[in-house]
Amino acid sequence: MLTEISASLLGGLGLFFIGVKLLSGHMKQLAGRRFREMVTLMTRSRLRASALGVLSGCLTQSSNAVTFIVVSLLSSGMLTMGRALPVVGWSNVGTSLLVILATLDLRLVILYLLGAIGLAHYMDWDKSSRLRHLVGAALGLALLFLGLVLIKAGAAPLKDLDAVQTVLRVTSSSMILAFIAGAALSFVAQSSSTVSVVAVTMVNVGLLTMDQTLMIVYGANLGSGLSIWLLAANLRGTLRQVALYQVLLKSVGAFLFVCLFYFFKAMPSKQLLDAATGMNLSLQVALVFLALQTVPALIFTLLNAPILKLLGKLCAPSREEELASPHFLYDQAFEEPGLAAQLVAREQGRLISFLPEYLDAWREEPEKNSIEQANLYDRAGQTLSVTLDTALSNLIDHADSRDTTEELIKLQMFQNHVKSLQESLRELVHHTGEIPSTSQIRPLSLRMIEGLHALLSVFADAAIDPENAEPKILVSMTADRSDFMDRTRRKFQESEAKLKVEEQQRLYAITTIFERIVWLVRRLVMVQPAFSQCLALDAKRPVSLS
Amino acid sequence: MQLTAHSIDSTSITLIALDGRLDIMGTNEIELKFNSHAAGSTGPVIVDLSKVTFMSSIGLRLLLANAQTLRRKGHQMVLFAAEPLIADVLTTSGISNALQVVKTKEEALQASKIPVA
Repeated sequence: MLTEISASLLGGLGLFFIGVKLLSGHMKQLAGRRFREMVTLMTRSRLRASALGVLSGCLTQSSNAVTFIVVSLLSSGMLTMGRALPVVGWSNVGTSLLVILATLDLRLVILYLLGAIGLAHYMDWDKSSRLRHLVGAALGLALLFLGLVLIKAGAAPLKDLDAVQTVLRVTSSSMILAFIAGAALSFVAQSSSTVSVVAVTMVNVGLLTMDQTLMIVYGANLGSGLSIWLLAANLRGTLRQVALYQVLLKSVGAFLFVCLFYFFKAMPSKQLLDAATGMNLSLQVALVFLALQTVPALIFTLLNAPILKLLGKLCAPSREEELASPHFLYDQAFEEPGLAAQLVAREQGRLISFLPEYLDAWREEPEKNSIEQANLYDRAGQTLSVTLDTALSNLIDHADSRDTTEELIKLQMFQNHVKSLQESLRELVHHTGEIPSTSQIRPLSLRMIEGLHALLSVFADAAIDPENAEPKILVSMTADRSDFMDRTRRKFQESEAKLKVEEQQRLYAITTIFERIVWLVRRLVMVQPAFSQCLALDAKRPVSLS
Repeated sequence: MQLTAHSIDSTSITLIALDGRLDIMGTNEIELKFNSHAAGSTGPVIVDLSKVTFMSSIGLRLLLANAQTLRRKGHQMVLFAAEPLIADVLTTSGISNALQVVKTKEEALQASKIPVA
C-alpha cells in the first residue's frame, strides 16, 4: 500500500512541477511578445498599473517572475518607479488564481484539455510560431492539475496509516513548525502559490488540519519574499527598491495574517463562522490566500508615498540611476501631451549634457572623469534615451492636436539623432583607446578629442539653457570639416615616416567618425525646436561671430 | 599661464597676449583677468596665441564666451599667430569657423575693424 501511495505522490508531484514550469515558461513568452506595448499602454495610471499587475500575476503565476520582469523594464528605462510598484504589488493577487483553480474538481476539464492538446500536437500547432506557446501553456496547465489529481488520489489513504496519524497528532499543535515548513518550501520552490496549492490538496484529503494549512500558507508567503531578497542580492538602488517592496509586502502580509490567526483563534465565534460559511476547507484556504495577497497590496497602495520614502532611505539610488531617471518628466504629465513634450525637450537637454563626458577620460588632461565614469554616463544616457523613446511613442499615440503631434515628431527625430551621436562617440572612444601612446596618429587623436569636447560642451550649455543660447554660433562651429580631414589624411600619407596599415585604418576610422559626429551635432542644432525657431528668424543673417 | 594686455596706440583695440598652457589650471589663472579685459573693452580685442603651448577644451570655451561678450557690445575678437598644433585644435573644435582666426598681428588688426554682423 505504501509503495502505491508514494508512487502516486511522487508521480503527481513530478507532473505538478513539470506543469508549473511549462505553464510559467510559455506564459512568460506569450506575455513577453507584446509586453512592451502593454506596459506602456497599461501603466498610464496607477489603477491600470495595478490591473496589469493582477493580469501578469495570473499569466506567469509567479510574483518572482513579475518582480524581475519589472526590474528589467525599470533598468532599461521603459518603466518609471511610480508605475513599477503597483505592477509588482498587485501581481501577487494574480497568483491566487492557481490556488483557487486547485480547489475545483477539474478532472473532466483536464481530460478534455489533454485531448485538445493532443489534437493540437497532431496538427503540428506546437511548432507554429503563433500557437506553440499557447499549446505549451495549456499542456503545462493540464499536467499541473493532473499532478494534483494524482497527489490527491495518493494522499487520501495516507491519513489512515497509523504512522501518519501519529505524526499528525504530534505536529498538529506546532504551528511554528508548519510556518517554518511553509517558508522553507516556498523559499526552495520560489513560489508561495505552488506551496499553497499543494497545501490546499492536502487539507482537502484531511492530511493537514485547517490551522496547519493556514500557517503553511503564511509561512510560504514569507519564504517567497525571502527568495526574492536572495535573488535581488546583486541589485542596487531603485532596482533593489522594487525587490524590497515585494519583500516588505509579503512580510507585512504574513505578519498581519499570523496576528489575525491568533486573534480569531482566541475568539469562540470562529467555529461558528466556519460553520456558517458552509465552504469546503480547500476553498477557505484559497480565499485566505487571496486575502493574504489583496490586503497588503491595498495597504501598500494607500501608503504609497511613505513607503516610497522608506525605500529611498533603505536603498538610495545610485549615481547612475540618478542620472538616468527623468528629472522633469513625471507620470501625470502624460495626461497633457503638450506639456509632456516640453518636459521631454528638457530631458533631451540633460541627455545632451552627458555627451562631453563620453570623451573626457580620453583627453590629454581629463577634467574629472575616469573611464569608469565615462561608461557610467554612457549607460545612464542609454537608459534615459530608452525612457524618452518610450515616452515619445506613447505621447504621439495620444497627442490631442496636429501641432502637438508635429512637435512630438520633431522631438522624436531629435532623439534619433542623439542616439546616433551617442553611438558615434562610443565608436570614437573605442578606436581612440586602441591607439598606442607611441603611434604617430596619437597627437592628432588627442587634438580631435579636445576639439570635439569643446564643441560638445558648448552644445551642452546651449541645450540645457536654450533660451539664452546662440544657436548660430553652433551652426558655425559645426560647419563641414571634410576638407580639413582630407588635408590631415594626405599629410600623413605624404609624410616620410609612412604609417603602418593598421595605423592608416585607425586614422581613416577616427577622422570619418569625427566628421560624422560634427555633422550629427549640426543636424541636432537644426532640428532642435527651440534652436530651429531662432535660426529661422536669423536665416538671412551671416552665421558667424566674425 | 601669463596674460598681458594693453591698448594699441591711437586705437580702441586691446591686445591680449597669452603665454603658457591654456589647460584647466592655466584657464583658471587668467579667466577673471581675461573676462574683465573683454567686458571693460571699448573696442575690438585681438588675442596673441603665439606663446600658447597647449589649448584645452575649457580654454577654447573661455575664448568663445568672451567673443560672445564682445559681440553683444558690437566688437570683434580676433585670434592670431596660433602655432600649427593649436590652430588644429581651433579647427577641430569649430572655433575657427565661429571666430576670426588669422596668422599675423597685422591681419588681426585689419580683421578687428570689420563690423560685427
